[in-house]
Amino acid sequence: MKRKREDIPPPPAPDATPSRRSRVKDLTANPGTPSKTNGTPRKAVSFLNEPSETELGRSPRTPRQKQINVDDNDSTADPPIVRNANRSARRKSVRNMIQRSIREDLMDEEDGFEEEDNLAQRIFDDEDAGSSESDSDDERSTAAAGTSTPAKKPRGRQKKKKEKSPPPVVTIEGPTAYFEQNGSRARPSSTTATLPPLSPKTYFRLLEQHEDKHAADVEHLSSLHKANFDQWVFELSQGFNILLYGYGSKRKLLMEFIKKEAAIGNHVVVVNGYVGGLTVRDIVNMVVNAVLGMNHGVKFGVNVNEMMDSVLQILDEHRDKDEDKSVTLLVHSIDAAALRTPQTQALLAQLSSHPSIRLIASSDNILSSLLWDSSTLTLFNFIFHDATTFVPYDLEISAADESEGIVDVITGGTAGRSGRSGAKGVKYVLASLTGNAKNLYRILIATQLTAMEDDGAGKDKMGTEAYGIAYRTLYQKGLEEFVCSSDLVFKTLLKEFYDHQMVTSRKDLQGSEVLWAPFRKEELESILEDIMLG
Amino acid sequence: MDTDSVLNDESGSLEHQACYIYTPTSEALSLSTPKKRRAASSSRTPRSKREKIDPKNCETVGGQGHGFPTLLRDLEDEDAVNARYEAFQRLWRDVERRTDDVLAQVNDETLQSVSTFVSKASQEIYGEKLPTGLILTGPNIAAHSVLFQQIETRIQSVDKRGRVAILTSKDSSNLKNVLKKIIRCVTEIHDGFDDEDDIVEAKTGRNPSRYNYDPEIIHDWCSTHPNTKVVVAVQDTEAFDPAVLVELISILHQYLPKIPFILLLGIATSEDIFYEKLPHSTIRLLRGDRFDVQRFEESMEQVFEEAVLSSRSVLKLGPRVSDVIFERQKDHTRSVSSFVMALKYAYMSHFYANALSVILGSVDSEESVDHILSDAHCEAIRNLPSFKPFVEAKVSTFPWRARDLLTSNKALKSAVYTASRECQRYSTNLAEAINLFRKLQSIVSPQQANEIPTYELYSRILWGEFTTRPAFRDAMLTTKKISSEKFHTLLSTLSDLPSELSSTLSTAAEKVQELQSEKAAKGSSLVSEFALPDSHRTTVKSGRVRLDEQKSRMTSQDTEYQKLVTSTVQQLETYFKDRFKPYTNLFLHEIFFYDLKSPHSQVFAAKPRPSVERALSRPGDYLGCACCGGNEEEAGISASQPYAAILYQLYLESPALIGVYDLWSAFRVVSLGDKAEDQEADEDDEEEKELQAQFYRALAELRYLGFVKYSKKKTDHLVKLAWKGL
Repeated sequence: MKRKREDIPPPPAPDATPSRRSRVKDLTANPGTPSKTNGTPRKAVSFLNEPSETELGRSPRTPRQKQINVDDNDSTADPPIVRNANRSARRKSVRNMIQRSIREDLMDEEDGFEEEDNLAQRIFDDEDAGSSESDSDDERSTAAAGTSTPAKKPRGRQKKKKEKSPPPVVTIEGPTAYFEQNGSRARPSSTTATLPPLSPKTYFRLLEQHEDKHAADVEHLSSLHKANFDQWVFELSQGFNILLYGYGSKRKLLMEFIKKEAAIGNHVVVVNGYVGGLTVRDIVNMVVNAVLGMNHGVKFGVNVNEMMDSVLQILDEHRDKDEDKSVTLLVHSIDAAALRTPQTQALLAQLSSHPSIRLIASSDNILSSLLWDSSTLTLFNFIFHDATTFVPYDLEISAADESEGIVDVITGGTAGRSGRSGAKGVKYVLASLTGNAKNLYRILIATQLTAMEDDGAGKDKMGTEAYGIAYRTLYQKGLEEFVCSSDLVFKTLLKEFYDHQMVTSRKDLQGSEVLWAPFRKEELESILEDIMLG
Repeated sequence: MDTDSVLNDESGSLEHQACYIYTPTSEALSLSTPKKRRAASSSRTPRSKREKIDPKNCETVGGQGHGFPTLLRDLEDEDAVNARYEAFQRLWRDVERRTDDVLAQVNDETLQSVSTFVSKASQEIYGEKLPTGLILTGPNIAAHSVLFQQIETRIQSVDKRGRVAILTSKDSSNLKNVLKKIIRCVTEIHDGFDDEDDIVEAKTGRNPSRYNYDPEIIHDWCSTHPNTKVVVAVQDTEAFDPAVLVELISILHQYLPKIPFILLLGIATSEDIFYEKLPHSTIRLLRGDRFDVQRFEESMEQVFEEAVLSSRSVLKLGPRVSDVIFERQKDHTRSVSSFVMALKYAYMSHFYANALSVILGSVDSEESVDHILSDAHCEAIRNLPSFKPFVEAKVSTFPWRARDLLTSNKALKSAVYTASRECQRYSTNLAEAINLFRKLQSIVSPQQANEIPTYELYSRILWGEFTTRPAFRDAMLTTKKISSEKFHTLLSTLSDLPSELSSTLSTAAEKVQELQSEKAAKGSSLVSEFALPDSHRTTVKSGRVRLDEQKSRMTSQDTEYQKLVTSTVQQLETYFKDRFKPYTNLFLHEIFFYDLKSPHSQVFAAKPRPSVERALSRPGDYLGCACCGGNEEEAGISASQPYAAILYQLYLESPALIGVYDLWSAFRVVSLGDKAEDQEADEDDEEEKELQAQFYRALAELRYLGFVKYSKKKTDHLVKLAWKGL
């Protein structure tokens, strides 16, 4: 079946999108009326009356069609079965269409549809018709029967009607979806079009301008959470720690909440977990600062575990002196990249288990629960609350480590290549390198550009192995230009490029190493220009 | 504000403070220290200005002290709220104290034997071998640190046998660190926390200076502290780096003649695994003993009896919530402390949210009940589900009293007092009966008693269905069948327990004793018809013949014994059936039994992924807006949904490898709706750009949430990481 599908010409929907099918209009809205463009009348009723065994037999993968076969004589007799069959057939057809429309592209599809394909299309149409039309049983059964019978004649392209049908519901989920979507080898989209890049400035300006259509609802949602603040305070005061989860940034909510804690007179330490480069030491230091004041003069050892021991001791002493004043530790995104190591989590758990520490944290990643083993979890003593806010994660995604941040998405990530730093990043890196390194990189991309030029590559063409330069050749050129004096120096220079993913290499068939810069031609040109000018 | 700071971040300034101390009120305060100023002048500044806290507001919070809300539509008076809080504090502290006592005793046996081991260990017994105690701690790693703390306190402070150094796998990075830690623990020299290999200055002139990881330091310390032992305890042996452990053991062994080392190893798995991990040469250096820690089930049962069944615990768990709690225990945590926390949460949630829980605080005297209940309370009591059957039962017998209950608060209050007594009596009786039944079970069928702990019977019993269960009928049938000696032991054991049956049981026991001695004089033992060996003959006739034969051999004592057995079992059965009535029959059971399933099932198990998936696939569920198809059975994608939700649903339909451009065009079509048809993609169009910005943000969010990552294989492609519902 897989193979068969691959042979099929592109789907009727001319677009490459998963949801274009939602634009597919329903033909059965006027049953019996010939379709305007293709001239093929939909003889739904006649399909009902003349079920063809052979046709049915041709699609063995839908066992439910047999049910329909049974119903054929009197399809109105048992609408539920028909409807069920209809639904499942529809589900399947949706799946087919999605798959095809995703992998296919803007290729033309004049004629020659496979029946299966056509069927899928029409099942879909019929369902739309069924839902949009009156609930008359008669009509529904007609439509249902129509859907379950394969079409005989290939149909031509359907032109879009202006009337808008409700978007279809896709019900494949869970394991079915997994196997379905992984079933065939993942087919990349064959479109070469890329998204036009958006400068960060425009991005933020546009987002700021934008008025959220759900502002009021979001506000209401957060007011619901705020109603629980008293309860949270109570839970914290009873020695539990709180973890919030759910979609949406919980920053604002927590900052609101923390006012309550501060009002009780607790010291509040705020930790922005999403900030890259945050370490447990910072947190622990800040806790100590909160307890002892800034200039406490206590020094800690290099070993973090020892440090934790002494901090806990300090907290004990503090508790003896000042019983009801505790430290509230607010951790935004406790599952952020900076805090993700088991070691860090264990230390945080140890800290949070101290009676004078109250921890309230938020977690965002869908797999955040996997961070903790039973021992840390017992120490954390979490109370979990669903705090879905629907507030965009603006700060979190922008402040996160570059590899996860929005800036990457805008500048490099989607707009050209998949890697950490875009071509823009390369310039920054080069700016910080020595002249020799710059020269070496210049040689590399100049050679690569020449090769690309010879090949007549367009400006969007990516640098690939074909345009690469052999390791030895590059070394020789480097020697000639006095960029490097020995193999060792050369390697050191290259390492810097590797580290910033400015260069990629592979052993070719002869076993000699080939190097190239994985950027588009356009980008290479601009980098080259920069080096020459700088 | 957020976008502002993002912009600033982009321009390169250090706007994002990783962590800082939150200063809610005054800027002046934060100026006093440089660090605080930095925090205040960062992106927080606008916020902290805005977030000035109304001083009055803090006072009200501080004055109230607890934060319990005013319930009953704000009709609850302040005294009642405070009384509620006070009742919670008092009752929970009591439970906590008692459970702590139980928990302290849980490890007592182990501690005792470890302590004896340590005190006895000497060179005379173990010779050149290193005295080693293997402590089989069981799989609950959360409890291990507690146990080792107890060992430390026991040896160090109670027995005063010497010093204990507890090592965990975190310390096992290298031998030097391990030795340093041991030395620090033993000598209590805190030499400035430096990680340098400092030379410890000799305190007395005759000792040379040494490195701070030199075990000779311990030797010096030992020479000043005679008759002390040095215990090195490894808490998690499995996780400890084996190479370091081997080296550590060999060092300890080498210093054994100089320093009286004792090694304790905590083993969570089994001895065999431990032996496999170390080379034979190392194991040969060790000699010692093993110690078992009490099983989880046993300690759990003890805590349960003390915290829930005991008559001193006024609030009981209802069957639903206990099912939730114990299922979690059984399947996930297996830790007593987490049970205590769950119990605490039950108390918290009951007193926090149930206005009538105030009654629990004043069950002891009618006056205080009378005093604390306001009219609003009375109205709330009349609205309880258990009030209706209570009054209806009264209507037939005492109609005037039923009317009183409905009209007069005074009558209701006294009824409340009586009912609360009744509830307590029920609980006491229940605990007594459960205790009796467990004893019976442990004698009659010990195996079954081991398999099903008390806390699992508890919810069945509360539902009142336990007496119809096979477990109960089995126990009763086996009681009939057991031998006369066992029956006697059973009777005498049961009669020792406090119950209304105890006198009956003890007379029965005497009777059995009497009959037994009579029969013993004849050289045989008592047999009842029930205890006759089962006939395996197939035909009814032959079976009957056999039975008749055996029956004919029964003496008068036997017949009498049989009567006794029948009547006793009958009595026991009625007794249990009487005690194991469903708790829902009681008036006010809503107050004395906490039985809300939902807070526990939600609060103790995070469901981050389902919650995010639901929010994104059916945003209407959370937003409650009309536009997102909140009431439709299956909400699909629609342009009105939040952008992230649209993108997520497109994502769901996509295959494992997603082209970003495809995703974008789909996103565009859905978001723009009909307009997408009319206008071709125009890159400079402002609306298009704006949509694009939303797309980027939604995509970055999906990535931040962990749904996608960039494909390394192909540019501009995303790899799908999560399938909904999988």
